[in-house]
Amino acid sequence: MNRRTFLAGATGGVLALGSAGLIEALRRRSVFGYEGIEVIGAGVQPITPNDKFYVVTKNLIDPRVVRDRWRLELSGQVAEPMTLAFEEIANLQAVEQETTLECISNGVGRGLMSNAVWKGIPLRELIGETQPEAGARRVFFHASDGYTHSTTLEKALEPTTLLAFEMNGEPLPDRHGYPTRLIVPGAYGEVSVKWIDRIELIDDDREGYYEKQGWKAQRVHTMSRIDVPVKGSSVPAPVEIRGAAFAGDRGISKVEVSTDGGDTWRDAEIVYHASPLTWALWSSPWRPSPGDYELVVRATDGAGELQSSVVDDTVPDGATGFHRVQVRIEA
Amino acid sequence: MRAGVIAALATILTAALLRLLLGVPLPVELVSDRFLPFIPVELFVGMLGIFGGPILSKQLAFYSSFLGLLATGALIGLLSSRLERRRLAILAGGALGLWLVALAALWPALASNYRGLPPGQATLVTAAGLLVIAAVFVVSLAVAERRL
Repeated sequence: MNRRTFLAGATGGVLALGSAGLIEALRRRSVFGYEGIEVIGAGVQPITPNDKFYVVTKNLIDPRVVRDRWRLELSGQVAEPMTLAFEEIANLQAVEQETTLECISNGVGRGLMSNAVWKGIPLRELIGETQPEAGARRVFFHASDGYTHSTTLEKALEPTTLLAFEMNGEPLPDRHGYPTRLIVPGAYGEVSVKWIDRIELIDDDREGYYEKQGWKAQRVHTMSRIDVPVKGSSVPAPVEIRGAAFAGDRGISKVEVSTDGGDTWRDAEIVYHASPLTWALWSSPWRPSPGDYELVVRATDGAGELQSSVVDDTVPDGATGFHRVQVRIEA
Repeated sequence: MRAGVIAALATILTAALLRLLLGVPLPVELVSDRFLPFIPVELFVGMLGIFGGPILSKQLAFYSSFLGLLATGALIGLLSSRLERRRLAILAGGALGLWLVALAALWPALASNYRGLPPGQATLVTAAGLLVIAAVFVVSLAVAERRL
């Protein structure tokens, strides 16, 4: 082996080891280990712990924002643009609000839906300070990771639309948008922009990241889900049928369960429903004879509208259809 | 080719360091952020299905981007070794040209910063980061060709 070959091998080896180490460090920070985790079945709790709260993200590796560097800019069609540091936001009069978020890609019976208590500032307080101009009719949100989404100015000014900085009593975890994120009740999760750093009032129809693809996320469909018993299981009687229902910001007024594939229905008991912004957890006792059954659930929102029975997948505006679960009752 | 692989490894090392320390997006992140929004949702979801779902698709993109850099580096190294005159000038000019094309093509995505820099500063830092990555490749290639 000559000197050049040895040097090339040694240099290449050192660089390869260094690169592999850094790639591994990036992989450890990546979303591969936590994106898309669903909490369904018997483990569902009224308030989802932060580490169990679903995550769907466009990123390979989510941001880890350095709070002291971060600023929130409010600009666009406003008379008084503003730039705020985190402390200036945290010192404002904050509210706590329990709100459920659901991913638009949550299929029927799936678990990309979670509930938390968020602490933050009603967005309208901040937007009001900027004195929106008469032409402003939409709000375009920008995030540190380049993600964008829009909503109407009317939606942004609703008192329940928050700029949140705490989740279940703790600072927002990195994966949930530290240091601040939006909470937009009634819309699918992609509108509740994480790591938000710019709020721009606009007078045009520009579209954000997923809006350009064709997703329509502004209104959550009413949904319901059976968590217990699980599909395909064999269980002894009696059975406590349990599950969740959600209708964005419209609340749930009724949940009905069928144990005969949808021929007959009976009301389930809603055991948890903190506000119209949260999911309803429901329960229904059942004493069946041994045999095979198909359980079905349907919910009615707070405006009295029954959820759609039309089976449709998540593209482009969220899934619809009743959740059906086949179970065997043991002899 | 050997020099190209060494230069590609130095480039990967630099890009990963910039991502970890300064939050400068990896090239694969910039390209996907710039172009994925233009893929219609039906095609987008269909592609995710072909590649085994979102996580497997992302893993594929993550690892193949580094392998792609290695392969590209090896190819450039091979081509560079066949240049008989003004090799460094041609490489530097090519890298500068590629950087300018990248700035133009990726411009809106350059405002991302994964450590939270405000958008204006983020654009400058990302542009500078890409220039550093290109420069590291050219310098590493030149040194490797001459010394190794």
